Amino acid sequence: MDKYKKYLGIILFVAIVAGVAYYSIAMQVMPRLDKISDVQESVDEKQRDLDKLRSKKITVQNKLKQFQENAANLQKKIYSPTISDADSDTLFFTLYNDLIDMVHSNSVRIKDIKYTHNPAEDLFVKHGGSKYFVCNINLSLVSNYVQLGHLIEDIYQYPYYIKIGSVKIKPYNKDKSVLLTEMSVQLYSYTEPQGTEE
Amino acid sequence: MAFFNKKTVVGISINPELGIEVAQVDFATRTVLKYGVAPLAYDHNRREIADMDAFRGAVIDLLQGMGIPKGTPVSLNVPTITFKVGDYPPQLPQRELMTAFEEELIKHPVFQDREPLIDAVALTDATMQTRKFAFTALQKTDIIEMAVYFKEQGYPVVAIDTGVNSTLNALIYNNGVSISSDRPWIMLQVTSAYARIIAMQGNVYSECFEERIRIGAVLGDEENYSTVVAAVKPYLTRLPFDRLLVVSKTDIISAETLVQHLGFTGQISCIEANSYAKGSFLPVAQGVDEEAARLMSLDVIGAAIKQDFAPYSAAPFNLFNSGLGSIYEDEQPLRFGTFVFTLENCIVGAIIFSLIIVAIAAAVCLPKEQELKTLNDKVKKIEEETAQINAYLKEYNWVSSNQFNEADEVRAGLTHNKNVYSYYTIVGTEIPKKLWLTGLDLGKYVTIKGQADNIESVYSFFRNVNDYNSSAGLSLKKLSMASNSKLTELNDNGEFDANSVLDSMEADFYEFVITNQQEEVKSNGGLPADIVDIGL
Repeated sequence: MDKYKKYLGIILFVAIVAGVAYYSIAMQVMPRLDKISDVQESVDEKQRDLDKLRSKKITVQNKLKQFQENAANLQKKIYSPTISDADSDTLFFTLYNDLIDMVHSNSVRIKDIKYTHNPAEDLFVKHGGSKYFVCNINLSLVSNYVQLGHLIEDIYQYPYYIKIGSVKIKPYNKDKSVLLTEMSVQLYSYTEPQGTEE
Repeated sequence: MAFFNKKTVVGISINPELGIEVAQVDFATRTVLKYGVAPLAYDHNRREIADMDAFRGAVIDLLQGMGIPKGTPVSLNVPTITFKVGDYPPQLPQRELMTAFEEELIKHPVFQDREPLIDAVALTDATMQTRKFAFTALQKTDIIEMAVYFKEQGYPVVAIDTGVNSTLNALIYNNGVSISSDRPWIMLQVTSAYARIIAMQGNVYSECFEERIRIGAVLGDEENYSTVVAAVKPYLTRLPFDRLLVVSKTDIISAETLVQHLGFTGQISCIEANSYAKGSFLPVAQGVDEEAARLMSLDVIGAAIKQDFAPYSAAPFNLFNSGLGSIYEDEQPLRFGTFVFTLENCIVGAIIFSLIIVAIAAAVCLPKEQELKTLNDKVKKIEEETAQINAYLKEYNWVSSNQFNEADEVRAGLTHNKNVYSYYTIVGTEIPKKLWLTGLDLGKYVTIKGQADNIESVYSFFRNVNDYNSSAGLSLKKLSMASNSKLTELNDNGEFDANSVLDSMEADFYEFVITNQQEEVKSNGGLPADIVDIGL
């Protein structure tokens, strides 16, 4: 055995160095490199997704800007409340009262009135969601031609956007100068005060 | 940590004057840690230990008595049999060189019937015309026997040297000689049997001569000194030297007295390695017998310091060499270049390599850790920004849809309002005489229903309305005579009278429908779905 004793040192040397090398490389360096590779891959993937989202955001921002520019060129604006968190009744009565005032001021008589909040088929409700408050009002009116004409003109001239959905007119059988009118109008309002959009 | 402690070599010297000497020297402090001596008979004629069995017993007893643990490496010093310096062809191969040495040794009486164990040291390099070598030799069988014995007893031999070189090493080690590389000097070593004149150039052997002398206490001092002077004086007269160092290793000759007999003046030094010594050559540690140490030879000091002194020696002889065959080979650790794979060296090397590997791993890992942290930060930022953008896109989901544009919708609505207002106004102002309306629908489509007493009025009205906006697609969908009566029924023969039919209709006006609605509903008499015939 003594003749092999000289190899003890070199065996010990190799064992220690190999052990340390294994621990250092296989258990310390490689896991870190693997982890970095995984994280880098994840970063690349997330970065690609983020780039797509950024592109979408830019598209949205451009559209918003376009909307704002378009809105700025509009003859009329959608009514915007002056305070935040205005409830739907407040928004409704502001426009509704103006409409009723216009009807009364033109001596048009209201035979019947019905209204619906945020009708699902309306595009503002469908696409704008909580951004808008919409009220669909169906009026049954009695008037003569001139009175109705003034009412339509007043609505047309109203400083905020009100859409005249339809007007169906029939003369009254017993007096052709009396018109029976079914008028549908849509009142629009923002739910929050409108500032500058991002 | 004792594992890493370097074992102190023990020097063992066979001294013809004293016997067996054993010493351990702290090389750094030049202190003798342990020293012991035991008597041993030496055969001056055969130049060997007289009784090898007695040597075996004495040396082990001495080692154990001094507390030298087993495993301690042994450096052995043996009395010089021959020590020669000569010039040889510079390119002479090793094998032929050894043959040349053997040819010289064969002349020596000891090696005429004994195989020599030779060790040679090149004193000059191979670029000169001749190359100077110093070589010495011992009886190979004796050395093998001693080496095997020491190993069996647990004291491995690591070095073997002879008295000439051990003495020089001890002197140089303890600054006993002042060496100037370019100046010649002579060391004169005197034993009870030989006088050696060793010419030196600095610390390098230049020449070596040996003279057999016959001296003894019974002969008297006068004769003894005369014998020595007669033996060495011819050499001292012939050889050039600046300084003479006289070393006496025998109690018969005092170095100082010998110098007086030589009659030289100049730089002369004396070393009494004998009973004339006034003190020990090196300081001794506590516990060492000072009287015994006073007689301590230079040879045993040279043996004790041999391993540590080797790097400083110009002639690092070691007869424990490959000439001993497997005894030597088995004891030699593996080598790689200049690196010797001893257990201690391997552990130190492994630690150094491990530290290097760890340092490299750390050098790789630390930046990678930073890189990983940077990547994680980047992931966090990306995720935060992604969450922000997702929230933004969710908030403005309606914008991302291509189906809705607020401004366009408002603009369309306002256009629609204008149409309603305009058609209402036009209908009211453009009605010709003898035409009246029975229904007006202004919505998604425009539908105007009315009656007239002549066709011209209808066409005039249609033209005026259509002129307002010819692109609205208004058309005259219906124009017919109004009828409130039933048609005359046909007779059984299927015959009818046209005039009678027209009269029965009692028609005196026309009905018309103007609309831009395209759908037709058959159940409504060909009118659009939302057009109701009001029957006026």
